[in-house]
Amino acid sequence: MHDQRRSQLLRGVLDLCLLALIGERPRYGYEFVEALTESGLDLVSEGSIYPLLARMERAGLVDSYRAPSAAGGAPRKYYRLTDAGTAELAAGRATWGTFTVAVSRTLEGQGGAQNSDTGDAGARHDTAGDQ
Amino acid sequence: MTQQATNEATESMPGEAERARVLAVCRSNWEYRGIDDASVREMLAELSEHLEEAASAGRSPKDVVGADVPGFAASWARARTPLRLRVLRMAALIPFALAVLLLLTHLIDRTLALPVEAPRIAFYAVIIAVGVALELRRGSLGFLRWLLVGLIGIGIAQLTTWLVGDGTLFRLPLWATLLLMLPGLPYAYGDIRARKAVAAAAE
Repeated sequence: MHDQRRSQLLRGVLDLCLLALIGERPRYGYEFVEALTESGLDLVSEGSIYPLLARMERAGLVDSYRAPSAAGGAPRKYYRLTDAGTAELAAGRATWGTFTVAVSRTLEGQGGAQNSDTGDAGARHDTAGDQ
Repeated sequence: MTQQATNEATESMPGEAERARVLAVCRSNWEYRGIDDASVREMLAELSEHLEEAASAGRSPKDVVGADVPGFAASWARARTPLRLRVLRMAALIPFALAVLLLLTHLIDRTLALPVEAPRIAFYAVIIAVGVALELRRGSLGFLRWLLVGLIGIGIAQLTTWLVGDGTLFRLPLWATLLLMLPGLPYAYGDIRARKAVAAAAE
């Protein structure tokens, strides 16, 4: 259940994460998976990044070029941000910032209410015990 | 990746058979879903590199593409090329492929007006339906499996003859066959050019 929720949450912001990673430097497919894993974000299916990258490329948020990888070997397809992608990333970061604040406030508020309920119940129990 | 290259790789590395199967299923799905040849090659190269790096890190093809390989391929195809363009391509290339088969039949029968009978239609329909369905699920069928599909087609054609007879329904003139090829020609030419460009770049 916990893993499923993490997976669903990641799916909702995976495009933003990919944009942020490309924003650091141009990357190729497997590097995204490595970077996400290092950040503690494990993908259920690594390949799910490719449809997203294709969609972002079609939308003009990223473009691609082929170049040899740092590790050598055959040239790989690298993705880099376009101006539209940079703007989308900035907007996405702002949305994520306000969204997480709102979610945290909601979750902490409900948690606080739950604690105070428990506290009240405990107090009532104590009172009953005294009687 | 050619079939020979796939076979060589299969023998040389453990787990390569599963990777080759995943790539073959993806290739079939992308081709039948109307992705152009150059894009199919690019996507295959990208996926192949990823699968190799994942294998080096001890992860299986299933970790990369999930359990539903055709589903993964379909999702990438949808993201890569709009449905409208893919439908246009297939609407042009399916008659083209059919016309190539018909043209061969014109040549074999040495006729300018090909008699079309119900068993012939049944044969082609079975070949196309069964062949495409199997390739979408399993990747490239290879010669022997295609031969088996052909035998099934002949069986169905015989059954159709027995059920409805083999009388000529209509005669297809050579010009109609050539006309069927026309819409697919620009796509076929584009694919050949792209293939040559890739080969030249590789040299």
